[in-house]
Amino acid sequence: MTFDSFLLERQRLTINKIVSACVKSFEPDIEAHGAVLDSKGDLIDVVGPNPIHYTCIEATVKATKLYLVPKIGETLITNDPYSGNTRLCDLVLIQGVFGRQQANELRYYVALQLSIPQLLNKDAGSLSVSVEEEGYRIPPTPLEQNGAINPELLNYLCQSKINYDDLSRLLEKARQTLKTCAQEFLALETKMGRDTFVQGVDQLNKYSEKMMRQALREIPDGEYESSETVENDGLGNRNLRIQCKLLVQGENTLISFLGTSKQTKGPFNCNYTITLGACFWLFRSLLKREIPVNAGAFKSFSIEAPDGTLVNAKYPGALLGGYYETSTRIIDSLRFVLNKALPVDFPTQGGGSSINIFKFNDVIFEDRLGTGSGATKNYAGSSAIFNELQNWPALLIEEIENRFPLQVLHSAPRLDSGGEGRCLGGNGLSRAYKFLAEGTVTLLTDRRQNKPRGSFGGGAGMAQEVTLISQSQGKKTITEKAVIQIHPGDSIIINTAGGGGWGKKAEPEP
Amino acid sequence: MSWRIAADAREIFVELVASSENEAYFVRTLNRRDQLLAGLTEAITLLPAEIKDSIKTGATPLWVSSDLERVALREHWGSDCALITTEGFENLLEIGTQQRKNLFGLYPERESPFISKDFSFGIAERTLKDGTIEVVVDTAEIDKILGKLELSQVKNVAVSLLNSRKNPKNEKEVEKYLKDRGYTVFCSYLENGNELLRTRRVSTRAFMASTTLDFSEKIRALGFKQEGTFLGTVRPKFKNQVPQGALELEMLEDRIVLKNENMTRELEMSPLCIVEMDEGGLIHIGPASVSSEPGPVCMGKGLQLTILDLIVLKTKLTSDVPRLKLDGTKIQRALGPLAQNLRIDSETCAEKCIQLFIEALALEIEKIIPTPPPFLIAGGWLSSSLALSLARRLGVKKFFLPPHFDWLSSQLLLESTINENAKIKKMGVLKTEFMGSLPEGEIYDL
Repeated sequence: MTFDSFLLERQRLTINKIVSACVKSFEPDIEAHGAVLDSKGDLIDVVGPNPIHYTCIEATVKATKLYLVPKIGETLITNDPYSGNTRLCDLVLIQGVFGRQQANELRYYVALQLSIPQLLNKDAGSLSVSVEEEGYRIPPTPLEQNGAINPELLNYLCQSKINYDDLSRLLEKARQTLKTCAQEFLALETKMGRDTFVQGVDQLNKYSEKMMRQALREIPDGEYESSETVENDGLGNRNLRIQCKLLVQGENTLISFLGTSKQTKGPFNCNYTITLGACFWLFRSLLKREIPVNAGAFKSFSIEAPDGTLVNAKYPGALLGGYYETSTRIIDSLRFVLNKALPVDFPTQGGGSSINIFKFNDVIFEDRLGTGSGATKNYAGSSAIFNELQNWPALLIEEIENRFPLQVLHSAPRLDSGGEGRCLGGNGLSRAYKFLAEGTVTLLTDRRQNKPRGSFGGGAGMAQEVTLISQSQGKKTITEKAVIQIHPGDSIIINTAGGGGWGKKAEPEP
Repeated sequence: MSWRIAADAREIFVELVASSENEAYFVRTLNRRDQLLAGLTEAITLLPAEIKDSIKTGATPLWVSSDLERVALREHWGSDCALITTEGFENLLEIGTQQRKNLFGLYPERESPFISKDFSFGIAERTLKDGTIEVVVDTAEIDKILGKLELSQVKNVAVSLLNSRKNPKNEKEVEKYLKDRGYTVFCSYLENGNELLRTRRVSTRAFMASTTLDFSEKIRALGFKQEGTFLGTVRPKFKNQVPQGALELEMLEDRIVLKNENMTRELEMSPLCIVEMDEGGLIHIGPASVSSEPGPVCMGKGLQLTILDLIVLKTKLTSDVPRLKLDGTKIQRALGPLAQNLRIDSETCAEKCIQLFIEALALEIEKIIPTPPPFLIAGGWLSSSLALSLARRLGVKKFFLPPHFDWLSSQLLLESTINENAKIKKMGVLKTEFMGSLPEGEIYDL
């Protein structure tokens, strides 16, 4: 050990507090992620409810600094997935942190990412074939003009029918929050002394990398392979393959996606950073204790993701369903791979995700539903739960009814949908909505034919089902990717997938 | 002479104040976590015969605050109860917000609700978001549920219907129907917040009802005609107004509770936080903590070193109060390897860990209250060990270290006609014997 453990932990806690305070300064219904990064754009710490955003914030800052370097007091903004970001409804705001003595020296970056589902309000009438149809794209650009938020930029984003004043207030708040975050961060550096502080950041990077590598060392050396499919992209392209090979040799861990399908026309592509984020989440979950999420943690493994594939799409590939659904398929494929490598205590596949976007007269409701989780050797899966990645609280029923023209008819675990086995898979969720106004529902779901697999003889979880009960057309099953027109009085039942079971079900006593 | 008694029954101590117009007795006794009234019974035996006789006649009123709810929920001291809710939403307690407990983790877990699925019943009623009753309550449905409750001898029922805050008509109807048939009913329309918070609250109350009743009966058995029972923490009342924006912290062995203006929050950091060094060489104080079983090292069964162990060691609690039976040797044994790894002596290691804990605590407080509070009131039996360093770290200008007795007695004195010059006698295990070097009852300027 070459560092003062107490001092380093103190530094870690303080940095984390500064970033947490930044995120917590927003209203509880705003999903926010906050980060501090060094001058190279390497992540120092990040806080927020969805780890897939962690890698994206770092990538966005790195991509931004290729085009623009923030000036003192300036904020840069982008939402561009082809500059590393997640979705077009996630606005990333970046400020530089400048030294006091050498005022022009940019030492760090502070960044905030705010998720505003309303910004998805563009072409909700069909499945997108290009990122440009998924919202209003802003490549990295200055937020301000003459010291105030650029009204042209606001007008551009407000084409999504978001209220101009609300957006303006939110971005103003973000500017001030970043400014406070930068001041506190610099104050900490000053208090600790620059050299000590920088050494501490370096040590924390090494620490996270070491801890991650240690967790990955549990995987025996070897090659483990699996594949998963995204059933279709909603535009006729079926069985899109995610080929995943894990190669472990000593300290080196590589996930190779060679053999993965080419990027597709429909919106089920992932950019590289989403693929990285999904893999990171699973590997980080092997660790049983908290570590700072920093650039060091990301260095503990490598990814080979060929350009122009489902896992590393290129402009102008549409990405929204890739963020929601393909990312979980990547985790499923890796989960299955790890299941072979670590058969004792690794859970089998869960039900993935279920994202449904409701649009009423330009108001967007992004409904995320839990699914069943996979069983392990010793535990049954949990029911109706967010299995991986995002962990933002779902809206409760009364709030849904208050905010949107919907009446929820039921919301309950979907009985017997978990896979059979010695340990049962968790049940999916069954939820039914009655529509009180005209609108559309965009389904970006999967898991209809390819059920979540069980392990060691355990059964598969039930597939996802969506049924529309329309006053004009009666009852009909809706395909996994669709945009449906709905009318007042119609209802829709969404049954999410169950998790896979573990082990053979015990034979009944004769 | 007429006497009034107030008692605060916590897991480690019971504090009792008996007062008349001209006299007051302050008693502190050790308690038992499995029998929260054991210490109260002992405290009463220490009182003068005159007061004991007064209690026996039933003429002495008692106010009790206690850890009962906390301990009961933690230890699952409750009884079978039922939940009646809107049909289709019976699993609200299980599903919650669909979140998993940990952001990272291979096993998505959540806590089990107190009311099992078998006792969660849905009825076909519906109140809409504007308060319109779409479907009225059909009592025949409730009769079916009652049949099942009767078989299981369940008598406590939580009722939480969707949108009942908008219009409680359906919920009130269910309440009346159940009450008329002898059930104890807890309704969500009386609670604030969203349907999940309301349902959790009424379910907890239903689950705890028999435990609360049992607790009250035991108090009556001591001879008291009960006048007021507080199951949670008594908010201290001071003779003088608490300064605006004051931060109140209650520092107890298993939790630290923060109060500021109208907000009360239990902090994630507690003295039961585990102290350890990981494989990467970084020291961690929490957020993981030990559970009540096996507990911290000092209690004898635990193997994981906690901040409480280090405070116990620092304040020499082990030797000064032998009745607590705290095991200093085991603490030293657990601390040794950690100090060795850090290449410092045990005493320095303990001190540095406590300082790191205070830093972590301060950072957690600053996440909630970003600007330094003008005044800190640090109560609870661990306050004199931690409060001064914490106050300095937070940058508060003044802090008050009340004797825990004063928090309680002030509650009583406000209601009492006690003479300000009354004779006061303290008895039992007194705080000044071991709880740190700072004199209590003082306001400190920093």
